[in-house]
Amino acid sequence: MSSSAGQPLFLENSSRRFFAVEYIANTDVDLKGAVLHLPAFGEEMNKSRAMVAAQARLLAELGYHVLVPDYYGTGDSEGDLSDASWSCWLEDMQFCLRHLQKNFTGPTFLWGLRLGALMAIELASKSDLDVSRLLLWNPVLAGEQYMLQFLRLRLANSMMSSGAKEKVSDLKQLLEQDGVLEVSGYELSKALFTEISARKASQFKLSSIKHIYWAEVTATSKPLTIPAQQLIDNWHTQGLSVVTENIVGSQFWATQEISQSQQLIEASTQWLSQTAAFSNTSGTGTT
Amino acid sequence: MSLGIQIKAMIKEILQLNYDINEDTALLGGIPEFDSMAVVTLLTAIEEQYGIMIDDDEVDAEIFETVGTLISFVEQKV
Repeated sequence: MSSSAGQPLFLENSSRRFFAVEYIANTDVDLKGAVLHLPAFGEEMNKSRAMVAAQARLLAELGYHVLVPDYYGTGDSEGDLSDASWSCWLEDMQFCLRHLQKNFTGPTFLWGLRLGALMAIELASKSDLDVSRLLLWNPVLAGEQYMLQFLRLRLANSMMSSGAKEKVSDLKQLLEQDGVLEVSGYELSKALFTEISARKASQFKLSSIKHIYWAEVTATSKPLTIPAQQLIDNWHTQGLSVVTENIVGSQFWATQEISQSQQLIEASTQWLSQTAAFSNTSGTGTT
Repeated sequence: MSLGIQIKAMIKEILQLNYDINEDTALLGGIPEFDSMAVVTLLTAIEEQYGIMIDDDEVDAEIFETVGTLISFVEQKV
């Protein structure tokens, strides 16, 4: 069987039913690894679907078993976003990992995009999970900053509809008062806002991780930001192998029209095959 | 590259415009693709590019009237 079309399925954890697409590894080639995708959030998730599917399909063809879930309360999953919390997402993603690892022995990769990359970093800090490799695409490093940018969507809407102009402080107060805030059609709960805001990539210790690939896709060639560089330096000190790459291309999770970055897919795939081969028991050698 | 040219390039990239824009090009109400997501993406890109923080309370519709008004706003921030 060489079909790498994704198979849709529902997984259930703690009575939360959530949607996922499983890309079964091509059986005509050696099995290379299992990959769990941690999606971006909100519109960034919607806009990146095509790109994520393209990467997942390619990896499945090459012998990786890939799972692409939708967080509970998002995408095609059941539940409302207002009932979702970061901690339940974390548990669900651990459930996904176990689902992948149940049928599979070999290196497991966490592949996170944007806010999903921050979740990948947190998941990777949990020592009971057998994950040693991280693939990060334009990771969000500070949840607080990210949440403020998300609130901006509502500010931008109010600015454009020329109604009463809202302020960030008003929105925070509304969130406090009502427990939920509507932002561009997303029902953001106070719990989720608080949990995401409390997260920082630098707070997690990645004791079981050995290899990290960090891709920053930017419109024009650009050095890493200072917080990103500090984090990477810190990881290096801890003995982690971190490969960083600046890919010039379209920021597909944010562009107006759906877009993709073929170069990112190629670079990520190449890194995966190198580290997957590198880890195989005695290693059949790779360059 | 002058700030004006950089901002114009950023707008074209974010909105994926395949035509040229100048200081007089109207943004809000002028370019259909210029929606709230585009505003947020553009503000974030400007913050990252110039290492500045834009206080949301100082952002209003006037800044996004034309390409020129946006450039002047960024000019006094950097």
